[in-house]
Amino acid sequence: MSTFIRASAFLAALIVLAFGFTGTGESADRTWLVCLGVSGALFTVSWWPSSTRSLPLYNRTLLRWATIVLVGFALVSVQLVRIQIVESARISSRVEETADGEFIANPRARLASLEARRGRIFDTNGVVLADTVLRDDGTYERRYPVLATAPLIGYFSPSLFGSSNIEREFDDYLSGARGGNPIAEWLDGILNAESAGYNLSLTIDARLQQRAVDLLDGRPGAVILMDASTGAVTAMAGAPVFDPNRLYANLGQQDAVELAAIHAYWQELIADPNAPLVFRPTQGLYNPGSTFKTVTASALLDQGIATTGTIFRDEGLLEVEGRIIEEPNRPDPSQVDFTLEQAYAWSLNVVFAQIGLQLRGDAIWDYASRFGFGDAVPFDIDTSESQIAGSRDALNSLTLLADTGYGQGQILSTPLQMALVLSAVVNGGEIMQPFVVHQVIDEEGDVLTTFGNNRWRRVMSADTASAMRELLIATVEYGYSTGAAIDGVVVGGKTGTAELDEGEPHSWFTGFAEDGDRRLVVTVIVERGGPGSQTALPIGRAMLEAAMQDERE
Amino acid sequence: MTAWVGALVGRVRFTELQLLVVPSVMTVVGLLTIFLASTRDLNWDWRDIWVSLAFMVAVFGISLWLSANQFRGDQVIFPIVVALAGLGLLMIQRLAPDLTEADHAFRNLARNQLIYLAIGLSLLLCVCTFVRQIGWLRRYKYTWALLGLAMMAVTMVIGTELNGAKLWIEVGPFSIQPSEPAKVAMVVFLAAYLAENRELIVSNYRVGPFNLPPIPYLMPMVLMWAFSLLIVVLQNDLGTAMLFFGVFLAMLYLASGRLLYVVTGLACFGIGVYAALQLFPRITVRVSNWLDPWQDPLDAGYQGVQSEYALATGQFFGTGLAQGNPTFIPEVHSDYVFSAIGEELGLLGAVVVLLLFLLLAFRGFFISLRARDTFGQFLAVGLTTVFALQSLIIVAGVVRLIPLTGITLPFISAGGSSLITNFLMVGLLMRISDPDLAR
Repeated sequence: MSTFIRASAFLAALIVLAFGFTGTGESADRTWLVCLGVSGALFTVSWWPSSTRSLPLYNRTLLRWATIVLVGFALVSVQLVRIQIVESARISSRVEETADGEFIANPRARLASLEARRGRIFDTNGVVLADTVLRDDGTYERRYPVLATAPLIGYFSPSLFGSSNIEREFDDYLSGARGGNPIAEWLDGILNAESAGYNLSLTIDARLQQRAVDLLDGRPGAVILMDASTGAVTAMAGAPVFDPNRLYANLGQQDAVELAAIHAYWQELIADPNAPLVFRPTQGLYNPGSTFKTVTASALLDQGIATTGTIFRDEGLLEVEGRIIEEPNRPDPSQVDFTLEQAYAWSLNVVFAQIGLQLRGDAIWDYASRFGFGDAVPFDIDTSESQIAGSRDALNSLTLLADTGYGQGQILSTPLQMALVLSAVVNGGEIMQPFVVHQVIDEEGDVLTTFGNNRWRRVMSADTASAMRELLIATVEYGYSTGAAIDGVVVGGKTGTAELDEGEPHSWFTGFAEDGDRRLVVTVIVERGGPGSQTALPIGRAMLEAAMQDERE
Repeated sequence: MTAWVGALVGRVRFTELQLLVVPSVMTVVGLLTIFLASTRDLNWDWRDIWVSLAFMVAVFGISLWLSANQFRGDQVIFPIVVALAGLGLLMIQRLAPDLTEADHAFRNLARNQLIYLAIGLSLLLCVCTFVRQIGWLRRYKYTWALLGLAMMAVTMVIGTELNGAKLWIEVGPFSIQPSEPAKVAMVVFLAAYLAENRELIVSNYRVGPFNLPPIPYLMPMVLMWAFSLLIVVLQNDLGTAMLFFGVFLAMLYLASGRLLYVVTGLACFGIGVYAALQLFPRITVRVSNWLDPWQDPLDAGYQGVQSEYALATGQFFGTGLAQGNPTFIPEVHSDYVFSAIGEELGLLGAVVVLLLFLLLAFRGFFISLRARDTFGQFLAVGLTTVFALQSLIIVAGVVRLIPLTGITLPFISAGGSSLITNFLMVGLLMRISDPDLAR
């Protein structure tokens, strides 16, 4: 057979297999079995021994038979690769419910967690947030005493739903597989010994976290409080809160009734239109409204096109390609000239639409990217990617560009991303990488690893940052964030009211307070909470105040 | 003096000795790993791993004995088999304590397997040492065929049913799986029959305008077909049927070079099995478990589901010997031992096992090519094909390419009949490869 036919048969076999790999992933899926059969035939063609007439008949038939045996072994190996590598994660975490309400899950997950004492998680003051308690039957059980921090820590449900957030991302430490003496851990691995998990200490302050949850009062939303000078997150709360205690499931520990209750709670959480399982501070994507003006203004200032005193004109209307942008925010309809500072403090849409047009799409895109839009923010738990616009080219549209300038358009941001925008402003133009897990500690209290205090990226010059800071302070002094003022403390902030297609707007506040060396940054969003200054701002102010009281106690 | 040393060294089977180093070290280190993982402690003594040390001494002893007897047969087969049997030894040593903990009936599993292994190795040694010629195998071909048939027939009638398949005969305290020796009998018969009637099978005879195959000489084919289907129906044992019929077709093709026979045979077998499935619904359980064990994941599909969890958990490197939990799979020591390998030794270990079987097959084919007469050629290729097909059928069943069958993974699954028969077959292969073999 010619080399060409052999090569093409081989290639075709690989293509058929590749196609098969895209299917359902079931090991004996019909389509897959057909693909495997076809590729087997093609492999046979490709490897078929050349017809050597000079050889005795038996030698020829034996060579052919050997080829068929080879193809057989090749096909079995392909199937093994599929089960053990390609579909491995899906299969080993597969959970099914039978018609009788029994659950079938990989029993290995629970063994690991039953044998070893999983590490505890503490807040910054040593309050236990996640605990492993010994049950009467000698097995361990995971408990979360503080509900306010529970969604941040995540759930741990090895036999049913896996785990999430810190429970998932720090599983290696919590289960004791990593973090201590690597040789001892390797030896433990060889000996299959139970290694006690390591404890984690968070930067979270449980009292502030509780305050944030209380302030949200069940309304869907998020509150983040962090120190911009280090990146340490002191509070990161989302609402509504769910109870991971009720999701803890280890087959063999619960009976069928309890398992059914766990499953019912899960279904309830999934069906809940407020999606409590979505951790809003890092995964919620919202239009940021006027809080995005900080990005626009920073880009303008950093490019040196304008200063805080530059005059912009706002006559109450702006026409962009036939579309009228109305100005809802002028405090005095007779005033038409505004400095940049005033335009920011009074959140003038028409001015920021003009700035957007002036900057052009590329500059807005680039500056927003510098702040972190379009990247997954490196953080201890999963974060969603914030976006400036659907694509860079979309910003060539002038109407979209104008809308983007004042924070509408196609922008989607996580609350964490907006907190980082502000943290760049108050930290001299540089963003510290946010973190929530501070230390890994062993049972004796010795610190094994310390995280945090890493610079992430520089966004703008220190001068720009300082000018931007003045704008934020001015907004609290005489703009729309006057409600955020705290006596004797430097406070800056910006509200946002993200208009949606229908219904109440999202209510935003991003602000900061300077407290000694600390640069406290707060970001609040209340979904459909109405004007930012009415709903989000009081929560933000209360958080800043509580954080500073906390410090003085 | 130097001449004496030279003569001695010249006789030593060096290739074999060198190749034996890796598998025997693997058995020792592997057992130590298993022991340490079970005690969770670093204290151990050589006595704790005496099983592997004994195994190591035995295999090196056999190799040296063969050297001393000036045995000049193949030097590669034995190390391959030692690697497989060593892995089997490790898997049983590893699984037996866990199985015993769950069910006391398994308390003798590891000990019995060691006895079988010792018998198997001795049998191999005897065949290589004492069988000077194999003509008698050929002469009494119909005796072997009848013996094999009788064994199978007895199983069909008075066999014990276990896990839905009727494969065993109880003889006092032992249960024997007659299909194992029967497969050797069949291969011997077929090799002798085909070697004798080769020309006739290839020839055509004319009836009027038609060229017909030599029907009378193909009668065994029809018999084989009916016999295999009987196994499926009466014993509910698709695996053995596939193995017997597959070996038969392969040997027929190898002897005749007629693809037509193979195609006809496969088609008939397929139709027969399909008809059997329609007629006997209990056999269909195996098929539905193959296509979707999740339909009934707690009962009929339980094994399949657990096996898939185990394999998927293994990933590339596996959990490590004695670090996984393959005992969640029922029958893990026999039908599903390959899943245990997949979990604990990962894709890497599983593929190495497959490669060992492939090597064994190719080495067997090589021996067959070099054999001095047609009977030797056919016997070698037949025995080799049994190894190749048997490992393929059970492994393909475990990874769900075909329905799961109850045949053993040669040298690795627990089971005395299988282990001893396999060593007998290897002994025969090595004997055939010996250039000094008398006709």
